[in-house]
Amino acid sequence: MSRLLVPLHVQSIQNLGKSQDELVYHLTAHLRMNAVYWGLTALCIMDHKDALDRQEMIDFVTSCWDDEAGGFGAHPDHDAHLLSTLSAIQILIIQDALDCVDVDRVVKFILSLQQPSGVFAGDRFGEIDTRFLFCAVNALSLLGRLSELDVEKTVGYIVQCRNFDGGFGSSIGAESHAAQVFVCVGALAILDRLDEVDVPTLSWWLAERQLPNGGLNGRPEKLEDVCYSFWVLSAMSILNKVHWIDAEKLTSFILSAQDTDNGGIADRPGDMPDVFHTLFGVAGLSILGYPGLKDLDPVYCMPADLIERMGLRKGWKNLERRTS
Amino acid sequence: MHNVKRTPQSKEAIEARKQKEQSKIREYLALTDDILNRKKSKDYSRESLNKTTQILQINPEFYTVWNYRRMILLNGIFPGCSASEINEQLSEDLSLTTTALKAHPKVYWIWNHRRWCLENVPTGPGDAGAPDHLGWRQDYWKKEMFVVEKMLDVDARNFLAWSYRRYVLSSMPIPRNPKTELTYTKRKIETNFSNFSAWHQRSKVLTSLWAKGELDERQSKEAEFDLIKNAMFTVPEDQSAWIYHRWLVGPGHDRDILEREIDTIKLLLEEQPDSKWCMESLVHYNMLLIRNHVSSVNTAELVQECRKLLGELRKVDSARRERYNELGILAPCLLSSLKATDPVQRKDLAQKRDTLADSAVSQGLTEREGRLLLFSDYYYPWERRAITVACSYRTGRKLGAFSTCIRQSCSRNCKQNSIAASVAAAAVLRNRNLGGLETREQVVRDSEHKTMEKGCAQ
Repeated sequence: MSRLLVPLHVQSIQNLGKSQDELVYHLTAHLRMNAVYWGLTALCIMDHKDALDRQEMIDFVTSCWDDEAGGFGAHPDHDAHLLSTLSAIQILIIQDALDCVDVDRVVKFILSLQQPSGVFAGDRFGEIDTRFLFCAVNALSLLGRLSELDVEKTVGYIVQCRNFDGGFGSSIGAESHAAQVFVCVGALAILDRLDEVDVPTLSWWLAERQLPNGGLNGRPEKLEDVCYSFWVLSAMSILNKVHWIDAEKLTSFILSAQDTDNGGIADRPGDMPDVFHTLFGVAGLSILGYPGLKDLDPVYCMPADLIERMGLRKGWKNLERRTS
Repeated sequence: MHNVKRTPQSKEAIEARKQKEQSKIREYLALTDDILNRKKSKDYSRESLNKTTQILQINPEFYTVWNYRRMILLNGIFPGCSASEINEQLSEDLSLTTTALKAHPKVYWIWNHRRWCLENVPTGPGDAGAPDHLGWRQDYWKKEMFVVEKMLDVDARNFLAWSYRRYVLSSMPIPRNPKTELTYTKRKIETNFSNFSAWHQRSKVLTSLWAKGELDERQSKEAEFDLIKNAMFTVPEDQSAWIYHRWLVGPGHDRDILEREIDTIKLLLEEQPDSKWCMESLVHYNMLLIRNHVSSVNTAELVQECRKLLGELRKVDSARRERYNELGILAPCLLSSLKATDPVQRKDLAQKRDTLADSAVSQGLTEREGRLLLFSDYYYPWERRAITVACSYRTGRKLGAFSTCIRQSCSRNCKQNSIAASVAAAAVLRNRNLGGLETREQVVRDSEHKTMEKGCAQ
């Protein structure tokens, strides 16, 4: 079996900020904040947190503050959104720099986006999705301000998104999708309300995401993709069921999607790598106990020791870290 | 990035491409700066609107620009427009999104802008009271069904398109007969049995029709069983059909249906002796028989059969062997717990509470069996909750969360809470490894106190 090419991946993440001479770099500016979080978390899991300059990163995050809305945009001068606001908070917490945020204003911004149904809009333009609900719950929890959330209303919406297959969709009535399962189960875990999960049915559905080639898909009869290594595995870890799939085959699949020339992990073997799949590939490997990696907290998708120190650890269970 | 092939490129080729891109980058950045500056200065002119069109055609994921565009329309364009001009402008915006969706069918922001346009269509062309007062809106919504069907023709699993379809169906000013959705999903399914999105939609439509009493549940279920049988026998390796079948069977209260479906699957298994889904489903339905009809079926035989099938499954589907192992332990465990704590047979609350507390501690709270009990959906949700609480406490990290759970359990409004509390309390009592003695006793006292309170209230 091939190995995880840590030095190469670290280098590819370092190079991300240096590719301003490529058009695609500028066309993805709306994802910049998320990309910084993906890169930083991947580096932490590979134990190279310092590979990116801390101060430069903090400066970037603060330059994305949208003072009109009271949240963070994805890039300087872009509008505040829950997706980028969560990433900003995650980055600042990992870098121990939360003191440069007006926490009261961010909390106000987040809470203002909850709808009467309990779900959250991503911004003031009103698109709703359980993803945004998770961003809100996660961010409030990281900021220690969960007590200001209407938990019953929030859980009430998640429960309505639960389908007969045990999974969850993006909104009421929507088909179960592994990424939406992660956000809903993650939110319930943070709110200590996992009793709302139909554990046997959902665990069965999750285990059936593994395909003969070892990779995981996000819905029945769809193709495998490295990012589901995290969406599916995180939910399985929270439900203590990671051992229900073939860890060795999934490990091989993720490793086979590495770009062995330039570093980075792709959605599947032979495709172009990117930092999104690099994080979720490395995250999946950490959950699977891959040797040499740091523990990942599957609820927050952040370094486990950090979440533990903050007193936020939930009862998830990754596979034991192997020594070789 | 999804589905973009990696092609090895020489250093020279990469350099050449970068060189070629430089002018494009300069243009794109200049346009971006111009637009973001206009946005900052709250420039809501027609010229700015045209700039947003220009950049969104290059990059439809630029959400800030979609936002800005809506601000321009609301603050700069619409105020000086007649209703019919607004209507025309929204038509233009809809065409912009149609073009963008063809190239980027999975970009949320585009679908989102489309919804915004539709929700802002003015009334007209007729005045209030005229028959065509809602004419524009109706025309749009009718067209939307056509658009979304085109999108689903291209990719029948696009979940954004399916969500949009549900949105359109629920927003149309004159709702369609919901039964037409049954026809549509059936067409999609018959084109491709693997289309689980269509099966899912079908389950939602049927559930809603049954709940409203617009369709006879029993009769239409039989028709569904025929449809699904066709799918199962045509593509027995396709999980879509089996998942749907499990929904149709449901919790298994109807013994006749359960036994009939088991017989059907056994027939298929004879034809396809290696079929994982046949075996997996047989195990599940046998367990439902045990769970719901314990006094009228041969449980020993069913448990035996489950064990045999699970043994086979471990071989044909080894990736999930651990799950089959645990199911194998669960079957007899389920049987004994059914006999010990059948909630129907035991009416005496105290006795039931004690039994539950004991069984939770004695079988539930060892590491492995705790998992199994959590797994068992025989337990009512509140019993599961109690066990979840107890187990999470046992894992040793969650004293705070544990107290929260107890509090939440107790604050719910029925007798079941007292059981939850007592199970948890018993668990704490027996557990000597965790927490300080004082905390433990406090939790127990609290739980007992709540239990008594609830007991007195009954």
